[in-house]
Amino acid sequence: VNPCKDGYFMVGGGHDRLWYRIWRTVGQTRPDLEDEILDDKALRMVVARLPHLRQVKTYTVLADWQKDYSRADAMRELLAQQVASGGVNYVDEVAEDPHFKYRGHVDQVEDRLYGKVLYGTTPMLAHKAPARLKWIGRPLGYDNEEVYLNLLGLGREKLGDLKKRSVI
Amino acid sequence: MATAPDFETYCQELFDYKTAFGKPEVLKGYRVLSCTQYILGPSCASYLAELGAEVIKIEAPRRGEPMRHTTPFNEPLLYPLSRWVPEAGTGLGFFGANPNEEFVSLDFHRPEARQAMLELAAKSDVMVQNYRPGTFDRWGIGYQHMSKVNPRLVYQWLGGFGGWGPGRVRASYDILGQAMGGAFGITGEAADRGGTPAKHTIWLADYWGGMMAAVSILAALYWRDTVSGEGTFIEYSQVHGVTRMLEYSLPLYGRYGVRRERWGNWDTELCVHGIIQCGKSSYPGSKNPQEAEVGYILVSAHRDEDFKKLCDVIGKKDLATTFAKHDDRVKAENQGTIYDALEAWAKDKTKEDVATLLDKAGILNQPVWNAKEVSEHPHWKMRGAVQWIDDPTYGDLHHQGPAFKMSDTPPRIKWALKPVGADNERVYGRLLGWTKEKIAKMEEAEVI
Repeated sequence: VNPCKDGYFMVGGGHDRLWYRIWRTVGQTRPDLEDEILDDKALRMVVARLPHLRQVKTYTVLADWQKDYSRADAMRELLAQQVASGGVNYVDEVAEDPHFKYRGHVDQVEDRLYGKVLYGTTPMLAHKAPARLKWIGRPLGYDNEEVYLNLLGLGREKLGDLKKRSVI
Repeated sequence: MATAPDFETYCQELFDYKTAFGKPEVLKGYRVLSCTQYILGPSCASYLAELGAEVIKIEAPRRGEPMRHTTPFNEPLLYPLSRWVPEAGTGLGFFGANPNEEFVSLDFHRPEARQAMLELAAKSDVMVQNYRPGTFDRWGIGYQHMSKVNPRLVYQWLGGFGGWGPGRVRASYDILGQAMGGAFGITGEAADRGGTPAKHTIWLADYWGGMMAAVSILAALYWRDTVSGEGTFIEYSQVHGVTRMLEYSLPLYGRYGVRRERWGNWDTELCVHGIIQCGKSSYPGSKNPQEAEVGYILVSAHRDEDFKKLCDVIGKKDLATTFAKHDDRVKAENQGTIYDALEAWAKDKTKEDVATLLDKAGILNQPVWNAKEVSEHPHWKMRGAVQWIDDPTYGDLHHQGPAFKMSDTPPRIKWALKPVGADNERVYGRLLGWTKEKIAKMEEAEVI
């Protein structure tokens, strides 16, 4: 994750096939930077790129390119070459992302007690018996009657007594 | 009535990890196919394997999945990679997400492979895969195909952005999921203290995603075995999973339009409840740069009485008066004042010095430990959180133990990993009934 024009940007492409696609993308507007990387024999194989100073070089050159690109523009260019990449989203951007909205990753639920709440929905999507959000939470002791009367079969009198003595 | 043992003795006997191998395995009898790579998919299958499921991991022939070749600073260490490539090894990056599994090789692109996959699916309970969305459908081994040969199959797909939606056709990595899902935006030092969004060192979204998927699988097996008799198709989007764990960030933005920001090693809801720097190294005179570094310690004293005690310890009684109420302490500008005072006090101390003083005052604290300190701590050793295992292939290995303890059916680590294709004969021979000649032919043709 490195800085770009309007925030921070992530590029993933350690393996050779993706590595060269990254620099092909960079070379479209900054051939000098593409050359700088391709001319460096030490950076040609995935395993050779890991030492600290070589990573510094890689990310310095990459940041030089992406400083002129917004997160959206950089992502468009790199995705055209099938390179996994994306900007660091702030919370408001997560809430407005069209893909997330379309899929319902973030949803506005109408909670009976608390009104409209924006919520990160469950990612456990099972097609026949999907997980779901029914309510976000309830006040302390809200379900006392349901549980103690119906589940445990305590009478109203006993329930009143427990309440009075602050047991429940 | 005999006297019951005290709670500690009771737990220690019940959960002693050294007795695990004498007890039954909770998921024994379930067979899981794992066509997974990197960490997200493998960790999902490995949790089931720790619990005793028979997990068959299926990788590309000869060289295996890419995580075997992803290793810190390019030192593989675990040789051989496979019987065909003995001169190469498996990297430590593979460690921790593949224990207890059977390893077979198969080239999914080949028509013979499709047939083998369908035969395996017919004899399995669960299928886990994390290739790009739609890839396995294209190869004829998606849920639509496998559920025809086995309607009871629970099929878990994991990946970046999900199988549908305008942004679906993208690869993903853990750090891309965390960047886009919103986690990095709220992680790292605050901007006005010179911080930037930070990535987690651990591939948290992968390990957490694998766990969410494992929970979905167990729920689907429950539904199959006790309710419906049917399998199900489950999708897990890594980016979605990150958004799910943003806690109050989304409700806050939705209702008040406030965008949650980074707050570093402090806490937005509690103060004091954060990590402070101690000015002295715990290893004086060490030439190792990691040991020469100063120490850090977590301090939690957000309740009024604890905060007062803390102010006494650091000799700043005035702070206890000025910020007597938590509502005042937790305000952003006041947190700076309080933590600066704590660090000024800790400047001439090691993290152990600070811990001793805080322990004496009854204040919750924990020095930030490195891997060596964690490994050597008697508590973790006794619990088996870290343990030496006698790996059948690789010998003595220092390994993380399963984090969940179960008294009667404990999870366990049987082996850390195996070379690519180590179980080809067992799985293809015994399970699918291939003859020795067929196995040899498939190997020759590099189908397996």
